[in-house]
Amino acid sequence: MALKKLEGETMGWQILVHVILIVGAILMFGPFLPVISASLKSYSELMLRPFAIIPKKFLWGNYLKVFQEVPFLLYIWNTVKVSFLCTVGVLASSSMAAYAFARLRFPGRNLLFLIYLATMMVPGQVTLVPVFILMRNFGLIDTHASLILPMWGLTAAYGTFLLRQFFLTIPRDLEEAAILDGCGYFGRFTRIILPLSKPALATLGIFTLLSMWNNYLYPLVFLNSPEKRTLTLGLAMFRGDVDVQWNLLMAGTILSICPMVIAFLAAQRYFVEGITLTGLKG
Amino acid sequence: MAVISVFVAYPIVSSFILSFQDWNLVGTKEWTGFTNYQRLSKDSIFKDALRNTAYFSFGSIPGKILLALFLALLLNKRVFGLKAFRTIYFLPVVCSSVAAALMWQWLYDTNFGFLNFLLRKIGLGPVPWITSDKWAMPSVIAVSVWKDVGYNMVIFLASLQDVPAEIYEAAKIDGAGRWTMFRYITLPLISPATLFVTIMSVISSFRVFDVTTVLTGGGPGTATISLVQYIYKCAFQFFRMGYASAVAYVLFLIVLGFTILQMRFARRWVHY
Repeated sequence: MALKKLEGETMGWQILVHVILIVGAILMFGPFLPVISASLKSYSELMLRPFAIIPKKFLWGNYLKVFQEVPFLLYIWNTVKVSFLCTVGVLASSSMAAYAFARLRFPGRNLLFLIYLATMMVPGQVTLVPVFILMRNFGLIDTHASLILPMWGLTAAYGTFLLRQFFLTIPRDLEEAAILDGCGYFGRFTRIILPLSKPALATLGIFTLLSMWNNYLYPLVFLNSPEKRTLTLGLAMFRGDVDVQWNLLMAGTILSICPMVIAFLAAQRYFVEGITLTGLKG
Repeated sequence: MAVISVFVAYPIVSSFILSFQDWNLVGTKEWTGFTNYQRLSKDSIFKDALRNTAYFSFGSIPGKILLALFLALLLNKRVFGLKAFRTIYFLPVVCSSVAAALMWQWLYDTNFGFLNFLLRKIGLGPVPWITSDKWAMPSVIAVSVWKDVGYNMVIFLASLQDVPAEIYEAAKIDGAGRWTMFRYITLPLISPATLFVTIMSVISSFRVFDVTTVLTGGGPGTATISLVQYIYKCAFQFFRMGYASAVAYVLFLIVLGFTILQMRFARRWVHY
């Protein structure tokens, strides 16, 4: 099957494409190799033979040490908590708002949607100072809520836009059949729209999760206590120590990436499909 | 809706008002009119930050878009190991900017860094990647392109998969070559994706903070300080809230201006 399709392309062309892709892949993945290798070396080996890709002795214990030297488990827990709550909140609020914009008729709907879209244009950093003051007035500085709440506001518009585009592609007939069966708004939303929107929800979910997991500016501004730190903040602070243990720092860096790699691989199936169907592309 | 008004709409208005005031977070707010903006026009660090952010944007955006499109075109064909390639190219996107910056700090290190090791192997002297004025910004740009190209690639890929194969078949029968097909079929049909990618890249490059802060700390000197980093410094290190808001508003107007300009210009080349 595949071979037949390939016939259209000349052999030379195929080889050229593969060579370019492999070189690209080496450039993309290459930087990880010395880092992984560094994470498995002892500190003295790293200083003496920084460039040997294969460590003399594989010190898997470095990864354990990360947990002992810094409260890494706590950082992970904080990050998981913040990212999870944020993602759930964004998914819930944007899917409901998107449903309203896609299906319900109410006065001022188009104007409201326009305002929604306009907020997408505002970089979160621009509103950082007032949000900080707002949080201080609420007494929420140095709490995890101060990371989650603004993100709901900032991501919800993007999420609403993305999901609305998707909901519009779901045929109305399906809902009309449900109305005949006596299904209310909420029932139609949870039983018809949501199950059919898995690719779009997965796409939005992974984007939100990623942006929260990787967020650095907000934790830097809003958190003070060491025990509240998230992974990015923890890692950046770890580097700030006088004597940087690069092998452990690299192990921590790799550890911080792993959960997102797993999440991405798990959601990948829905991922490209979600983007294609939502018309995110334009 | 309420959340958006509290955390987006209100702050936009509030930071505008704050930009005409002087406030150190503790004392009383003082109305100073255009003083903050006047001071900005003479502030050399602000000018550096502005120039760096522009340098960063013009340096990184073409690379991010063209490379992403190129990769997406290659991966849109039937290629052996398609999924593996897609995953590898997306891997840096999943990586946080902080993690990426820490990794590259190690790779860029003048004495112990892997890049200089490779250079020495082929007989070239060490390059002070992130510690010299000249090289710091290109090094930051390289990390940023490396990190973000996969994201744009996935969006191009999604768009390319929507182009009906029949159109190419028909063009082939008419004797169209590869370049002609790309120029007159592919490019117009994916133009909405190109617009989306361009706007998003412009917005995100003007927000650059993580990479410059962690990788170079804005240095050496002010060689890589970005606008957002300067906002952060003014607000949370010097506690000059009004001044920081003024910088933020300049940033906002620039982003808004570019977005409107792109939307306007888009009518000429985007086909829906």
